[in-house]
Amino acid sequence: MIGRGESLAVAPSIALPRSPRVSRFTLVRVLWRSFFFQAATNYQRMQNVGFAYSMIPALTELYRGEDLKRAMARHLLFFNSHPYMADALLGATVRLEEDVAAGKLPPERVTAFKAAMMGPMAAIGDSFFYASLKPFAAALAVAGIVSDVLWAPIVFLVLYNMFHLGLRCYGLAAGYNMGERVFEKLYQIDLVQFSDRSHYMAAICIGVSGALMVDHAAHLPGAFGSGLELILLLALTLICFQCLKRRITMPWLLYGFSVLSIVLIGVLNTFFPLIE
Amino acid sequence: MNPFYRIDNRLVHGQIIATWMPHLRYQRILIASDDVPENALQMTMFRMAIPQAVAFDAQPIKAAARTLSTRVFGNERVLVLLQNVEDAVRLFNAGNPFANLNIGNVHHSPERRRFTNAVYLGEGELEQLRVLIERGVRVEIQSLPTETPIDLKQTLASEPR
Amino acid sequence: MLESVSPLARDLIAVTAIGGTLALDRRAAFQLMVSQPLVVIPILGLFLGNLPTALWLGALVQLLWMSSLLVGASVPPNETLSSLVIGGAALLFGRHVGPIDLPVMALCILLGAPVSLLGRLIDIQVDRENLALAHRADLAAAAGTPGVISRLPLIGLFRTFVAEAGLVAAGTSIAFFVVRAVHPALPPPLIRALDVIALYLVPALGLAVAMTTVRRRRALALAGIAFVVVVSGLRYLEVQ
Repeated sequence: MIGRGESLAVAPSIALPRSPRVSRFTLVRVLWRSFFFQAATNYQRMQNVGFAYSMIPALTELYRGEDLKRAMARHLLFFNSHPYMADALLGATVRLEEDVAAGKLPPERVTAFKAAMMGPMAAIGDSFFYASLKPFAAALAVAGIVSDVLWAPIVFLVLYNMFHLGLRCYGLAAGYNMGERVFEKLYQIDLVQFSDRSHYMAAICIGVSGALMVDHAAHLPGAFGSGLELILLLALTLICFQCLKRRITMPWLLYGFSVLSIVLIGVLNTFFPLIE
Repeated sequence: MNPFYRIDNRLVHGQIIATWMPHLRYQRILIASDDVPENALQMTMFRMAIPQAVAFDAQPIKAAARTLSTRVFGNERVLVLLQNVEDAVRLFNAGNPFANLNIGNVHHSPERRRFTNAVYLGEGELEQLRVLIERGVRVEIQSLPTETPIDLKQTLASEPR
Repeated sequence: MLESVSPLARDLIAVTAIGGTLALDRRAAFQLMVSQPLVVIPILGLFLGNLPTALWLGALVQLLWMSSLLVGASVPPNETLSSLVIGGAALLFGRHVGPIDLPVMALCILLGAPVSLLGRLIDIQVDRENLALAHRADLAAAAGTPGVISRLPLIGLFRTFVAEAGLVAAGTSIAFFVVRAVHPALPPPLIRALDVIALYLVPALGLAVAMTTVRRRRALALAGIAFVVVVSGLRYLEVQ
């Protein structure tokens, strides 16, 4: 059997060797290191260095000599997933490596497990955190700022990181306890379902922010008055939205409409000189 | 472009769920691969990552070719995912001559050369893709819907051979 | 030592140091989202003594880049570096030149927005440089020296910091000096145009970008309803 840990004592009376277990402190070190998961991201094997880096506390506890070299090498293969979801995978991988070290599993099983999980895990993480929770929490905080709530950014950070840090810690523990069956736990949380709902809440926050921005503009000195702010902001928003849907990107719209408004106001002023 | 055919090494992942799905509003995802339907773990993970409202199925290449060439999807928007160039060519030759092929992610390996940050193709794969292009397939390299697609036909034509 | 440096240079160094550190959060480390525009600009505001303006500016810039997604192998424009330049230049102006009025905000946003594209180029370059780290990791694995692999992310962090902080320093100083030179010479029609840009165009464009992140059509209707309810509610209160 390849990859049996030499340093770990196995009770001689037990016929089947019990898997060596890493210490709790080692798992905490893996968790800490996972925060630097993307610090050495490279364009060929993406997060491979980050994965190996995070696994090292566990690997050095389980393996010595040639086994350690092989273990490090197999965690330097291509890896790309979502950094938060990586903790569930790291936990499960540590558990699998314990079994590999005991000779119960072939090392290829670990590699195949990582390769099968990274895509779907990234899908869940990206759609929940980046495409749903972040826009919702940000929209909420923007609505807070435009209604003069000074600590709105703190609300954003707390709301977001409650889920983020929670999932990282829980994922690592669940992954370690369940091994390959970690997905069952994640299934119960059903992040995908939550993603859907957060879009409705984000939409409300965006609507409220828009209304408060109109109100803000209408109360500044030199406002157009008579509801023109409302019409102008609403019309511009809808035009920009349609343009964005037609794949005209934000910077183009920003500069295009800026030039347009400068020219428009300049031309209008030469014919109807109102601004002195 | 329905069904939409895409080559992606990681099959279902963040780019698919968080960007392509909202962009093209897919109602069905079909993975054409000989390995995936047999991998229970991967199947569970994929089903979990794809929203419940979207139908999901994985079939071996020959079965997928039969499904795609005989079944009428009507207005249902279908995304067909393929793991690599070889599988795409096999699907094409198995009686499902599609007209468009998107290349989303093909990982780096020593024999492949770089086309974009996410797409690397080897000479063998390029040869297979040239055959597809000659038979009228529009092959485009594009990872995200927000990126400008690169027409592989033009890229290859501009290269000295 | 710092006392011999002019207050302006000292503030610029502060923007660079704080900004470069916060920018690491975006992709290289932690991802606690302190690198979001909504957070970085107010943090700069706390240090440079103008939190209310920084909050407002942070909200606007956040909306503009709301749809920016770090998914898979794609490298999107770097909204953090743009925010730092926009916020840094505006707040430096507020501290050393005059009040941050609407034209200053508009100019800073127009000058700072392209930095996100330069930032994208830097991110791509860092990914390439890091290839050497992957090779060093392979060698360390073959030699059986885990300690070497444990140092590699630090090198990656340092590289990212130097590259991004450099861009922040250069971008912020250029934007600041341009705004300082241009602002007093602005003709009145241009001032009015910049007012319109800061007060209507940027918020409208930001709201539109934010709307594109909403995945459900029915949810968009909800945004419309919320808008109408709040607008009429505020009108009603005013009449009272």
